[in-house]
Amino acid sequence: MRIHRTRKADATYDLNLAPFLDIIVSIIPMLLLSVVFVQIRMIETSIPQVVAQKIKEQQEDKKPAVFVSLKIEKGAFGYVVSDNGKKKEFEVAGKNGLLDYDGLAKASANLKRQYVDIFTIDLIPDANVTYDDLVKTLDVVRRLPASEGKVTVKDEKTGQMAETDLMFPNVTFANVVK
Amino acid sequence: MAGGIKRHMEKRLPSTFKIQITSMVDMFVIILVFLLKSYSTSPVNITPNADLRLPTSNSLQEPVDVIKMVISKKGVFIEDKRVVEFDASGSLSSKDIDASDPSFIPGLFKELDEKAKQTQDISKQNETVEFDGRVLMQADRDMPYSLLQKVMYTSMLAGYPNVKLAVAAKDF
Repeated sequence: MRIHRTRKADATYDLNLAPFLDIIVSIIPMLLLSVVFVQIRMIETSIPQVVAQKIKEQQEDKKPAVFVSLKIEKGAFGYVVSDNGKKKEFEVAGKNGLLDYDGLAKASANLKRQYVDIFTIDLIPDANVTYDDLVKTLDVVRRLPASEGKVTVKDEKTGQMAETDLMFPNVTFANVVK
Repeated sequence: MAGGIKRHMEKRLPSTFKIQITSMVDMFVIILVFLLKSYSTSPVNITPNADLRLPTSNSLQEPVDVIKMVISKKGVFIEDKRVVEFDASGSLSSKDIDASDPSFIPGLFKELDEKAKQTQDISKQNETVEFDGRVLMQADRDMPYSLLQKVMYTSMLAGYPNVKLAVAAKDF
């Protein structure tokens, strides 16, 4: 004899979404208050304090042998490298009257490979250079582009070699104090 | 017979009904994902303004909560207070510049100097507060360096030599 079973519960049922909805409705106003459409980032710079720097140099009694400075003019970049008193200058010419950032990236990468231990650069912008051009220049000189690979730097403490894509992250505005 | 019809109607037309909220929940989930993506805990807030368009940068460093100096096309602001007003051409007028030192902006110096003194006074009473001379500069992308140089020079003289540049994230 077959036992006939009756199904008391339905195979389908409705989800109770009300509590879930309550949570979402509570979260959304909070998130709406903190929504941002422009993410702000920051670039570290420093301004030379001539007196403080002189005192520090005198206290430490050592001066860096290599200085790298970059002039930014309306249509061209100009590198000035002082290597143990010898001054080398070269220019990255602009294209169609505009600054050539690709050319600057290549020139900066070549310079970095010559002076792997130098991470400081003095920026000397022209009065007409805009803040936008300044930030673009900082972006270029701070890091090596992916196509240029990385440079190998020796860690003086451990003696080990370390790879980095940083070129000149320590940027100083050299002509703030005229 | 009448009782039979009544029972039939009660069976076919329930007195309560369910609201179909599935589509509303779908919509809310989409909004929630969008809002979570654009959620920010950054201490620096910028209200979108036609007079201040920040340049974009690939810098990934989060801004710090220091004194905010805004250089928009209208003037120089410290926090929300306008300390220098630009002329119609969007540049500094001669009355805002010191006659003996063309890089010095007395109005800006006065405000920053007051801020520095306030912080220094607080730091004397409260050891957790430290005056480190840091200022976050938010400048419009079209501002010339000649103006930025004057602002940085003045802030340095007021005790804020550490100027940080605010930029907009490129990958957003």
